Amino acid sequence: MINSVILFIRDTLPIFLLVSLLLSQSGLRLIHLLIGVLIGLMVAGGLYINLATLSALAEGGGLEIVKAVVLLITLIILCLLIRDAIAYNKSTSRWAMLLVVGITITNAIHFLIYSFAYWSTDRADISLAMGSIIGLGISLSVSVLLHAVVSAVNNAYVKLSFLCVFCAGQFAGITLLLEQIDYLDVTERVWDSSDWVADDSEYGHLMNVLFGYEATPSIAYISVYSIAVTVPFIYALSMKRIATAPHVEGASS
Amino acid sequence: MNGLFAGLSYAALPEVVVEIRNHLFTPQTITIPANQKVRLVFINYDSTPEEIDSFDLNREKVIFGESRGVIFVGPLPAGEYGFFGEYHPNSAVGKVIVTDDMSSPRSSDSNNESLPHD
Repeated sequence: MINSVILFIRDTLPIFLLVSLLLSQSGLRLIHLLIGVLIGLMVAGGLYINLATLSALAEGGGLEIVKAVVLLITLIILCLLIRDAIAYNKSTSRWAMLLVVGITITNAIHFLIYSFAYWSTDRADISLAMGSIIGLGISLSVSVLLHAVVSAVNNAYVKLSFLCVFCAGQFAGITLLLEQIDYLDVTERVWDSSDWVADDSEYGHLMNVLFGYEATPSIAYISVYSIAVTVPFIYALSMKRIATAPHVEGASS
Repeated sequence: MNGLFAGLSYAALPEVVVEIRNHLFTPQTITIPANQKVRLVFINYDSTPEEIDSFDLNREKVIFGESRGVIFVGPLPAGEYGFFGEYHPNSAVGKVIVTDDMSSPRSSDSNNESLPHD
């Protein structure tokens, strides 16, 4: 049962946290985000059905490549979301929904693999169900707390920063995926903070989900993380500056 | 028995094969050279999938039932790096020992299988 709790939390907590962070932003409605979760689950289900074929691609790296591509597209969507949020554009709901779709796909696929593999066997007993219910309760509790904390912040830019930091933790995982299948060379580890907070500790798990904490991050991981945190804002503020720049009438004669 | 890195080729990466049977890794301990990239090939003989997870190596990969998967690790400094099966964390436990000295393999354990040599 404990393993079911851990797996449920690991695979679904990011989705819950993303929904709560997006709800904390102004102008976003739960229904759109839930639709995004549903679409994400459907796409993840479609991937699961074709998983044998998919994972055999690229010399066994098919699933990693699909996840990396989805995360990259989701990063672009985040940039568009931040741009429209800063410009007080009403189309943020659309991007928020797509952001949820992307994060749901990359996280739910693993949960589906575990669920369909073990819940269809004789081991699908009450302990597995209880483990998932407990995991669901924990995920809901943490996400409600996060929503309360972020909603209490008055500054819209700070709220968006919380969202960016969370998403950066997800996007930085692209480097780990590509290193695993040898599409990216392993770079030097920048620091080792495992003596303070180990990756496999409770705090390590939570911090990893909240903001992508890694006890031994590589240069590539930190680089992608930094890009994912800063580029959405740089892009959004650039677009805002262009949109609000005064037009100069009449060329020089 | 400690795993030996096998299949050394100047054109290919060193490779170690790990089998998954009854939610156990064989061999449980793998020895690889330091500062070198290595292919870890997991062959899952069970009918159900196993997710190879390692916080030390920053690796996470699902190996589907009755199939195989490859994980690249390294270059790594000398040390010990644990990995486990996420779906069976109590039984599927393994360790990668990275050593500067690969001139001789570590002593073997009579209960473990030897790795295939190409």
